[in-house]
Amino acid sequence: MKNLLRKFFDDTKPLFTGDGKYKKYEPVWDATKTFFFLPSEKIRAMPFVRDHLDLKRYMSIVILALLPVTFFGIYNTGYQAGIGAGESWPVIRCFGVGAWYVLPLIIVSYAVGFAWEFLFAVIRGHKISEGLLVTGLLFPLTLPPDSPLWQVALGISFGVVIGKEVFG
Amino acid sequence: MKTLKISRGFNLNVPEQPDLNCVRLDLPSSLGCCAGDIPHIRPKLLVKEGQRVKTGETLFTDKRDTSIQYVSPGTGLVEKVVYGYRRRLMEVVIAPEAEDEYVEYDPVELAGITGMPLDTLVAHLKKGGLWQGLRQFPALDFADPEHSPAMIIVVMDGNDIFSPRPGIILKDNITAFEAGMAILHRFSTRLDVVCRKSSLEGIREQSSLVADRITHAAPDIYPAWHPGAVLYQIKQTAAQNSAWCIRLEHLVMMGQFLLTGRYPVEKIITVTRPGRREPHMRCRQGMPLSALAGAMPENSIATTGRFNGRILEKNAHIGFFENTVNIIEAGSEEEMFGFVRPGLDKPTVSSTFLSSLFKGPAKMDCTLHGEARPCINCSYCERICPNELMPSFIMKALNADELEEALALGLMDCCRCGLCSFACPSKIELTQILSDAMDAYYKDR
Repeated sequence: MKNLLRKFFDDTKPLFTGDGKYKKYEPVWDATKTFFFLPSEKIRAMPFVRDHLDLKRYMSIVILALLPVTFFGIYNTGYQAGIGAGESWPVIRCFGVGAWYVLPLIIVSYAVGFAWEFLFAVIRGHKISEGLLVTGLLFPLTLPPDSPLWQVALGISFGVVIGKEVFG
Repeated sequence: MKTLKISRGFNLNVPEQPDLNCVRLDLPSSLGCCAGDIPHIRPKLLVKEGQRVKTGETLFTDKRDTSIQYVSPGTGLVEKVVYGYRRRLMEVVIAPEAEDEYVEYDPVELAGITGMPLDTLVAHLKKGGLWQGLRQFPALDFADPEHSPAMIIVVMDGNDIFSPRPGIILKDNITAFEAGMAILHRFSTRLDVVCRKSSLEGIREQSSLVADRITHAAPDIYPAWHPGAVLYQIKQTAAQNSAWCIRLEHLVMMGQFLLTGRYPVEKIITVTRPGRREPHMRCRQGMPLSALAGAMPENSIATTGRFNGRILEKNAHIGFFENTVNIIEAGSEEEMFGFVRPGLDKPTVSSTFLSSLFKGPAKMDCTLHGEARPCINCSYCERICPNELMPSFIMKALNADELEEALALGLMDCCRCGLCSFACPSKIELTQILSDAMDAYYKDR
């Protein structure tokens, strides 16, 4: 598996770097590559030892910390729906109904957010930032579960385009 | 003796600590007088290739003040003059002869130091190539003899966590130390002698008189014993911002020079390398890396301080201000799914890897462990800075050309320990940005 992946990235490298045909899409290729293979270049300036923590790890830990909140949010949405219906639902059903409401918000938020991030990375030639993994989850967590999806898309677009790309 | 209360800094358990034995190394086939490690210098070469020089004879000087001299650590022919980027003088290499021929000066007795006129003393030390051992804050340039410092900080330990132990440097040099202190007393009434807690025992073994002179003990957290960190802790008035400092080995050298009338050529050096404990080494000034480290492990670098040294090339020589060589191996440059591994073997000051639960030996390598990213205000740099600065905010002020704001945030208090760059998860070269800005500000003033 490792060798196959390695081979895939080695084979596609000339296409995306230097004078490659898809040079424009290098950030997308780079983000995919660094997802699988954490880069660790040799240090050129002092100090010559560095901490192992990097932004990918940092954001992964934040996501990990957000998961319990997300799961409770999903459960609670279902639970409140149950109360609203005047019934007492079992835990599984609470989760099921909650997921039906909450997961579309998260999916739309990530999809639209990453679309903008990819677009800006390609146009401005910067690397794709891991911060979006957190933004894309935090934002739907602040929303009421019955928000219309177009509002979710609009909200995350504002966040990424104005908040992240324009003001940094 | 006071104890400094510094709790911020680096206290991971790094193996490779040098052994406290001391071995003597033979005279190597080449000696170097290095200009690459001297802060702020604009070197002016005074010798030619093929010229024969005596031990203690001037090789180059500083264009900014030609009375500051950098002298030869051996007798022999000038073999090579090495230039670096933009023909900057890097080092003068000498092929040493077995017998030394010294440039002789009149010896001064210990009691005579107090009576010596100050100008003569300064001129003597400058000619002997030792005045530059005294450094002046804030930029750590050579001390200005016209300036009378509010205090002089004597630092017993070196720039790295595994620099030579003061006890070993002091061995047989107690009189020279006393002479050095007598010299310093001529310039300032307040001398602050600082040493690491773990070095105290070794110093006491050599001489209880020296141990009694220690005014401050610093905790064993890097960089608590650095002159910059010490000054930040003990300074009370603005005048102390331009205090002087000197390292123990240079103080001892000054003493030896006055007492014997000859340039002292001995130096204690430590070498650290992964998986081995090397003894301290008693050797010449200007030793070549090859004679100290032998065969280097594959894919590794040699530095003169893992946090704040410079990279030594294969044929480089140790400079006047350097006394440790760290050989650091490079890990693999890519790691599959590196960001989700438990990381038992990944030392960190954060708590994001399992290694932070155990205080096992921290294996360091010389790779970045990630890629550069924009600053996310995580405050790791702030939490590790020994001088309580906010490096990320200073960096942003400098990037916006707001020098005044950077100064207000304490730019000149930076002690260049390198820990902000070490800790930054966005891999921003904070130390370099701050250090370059300090140098530029100092040069402009």
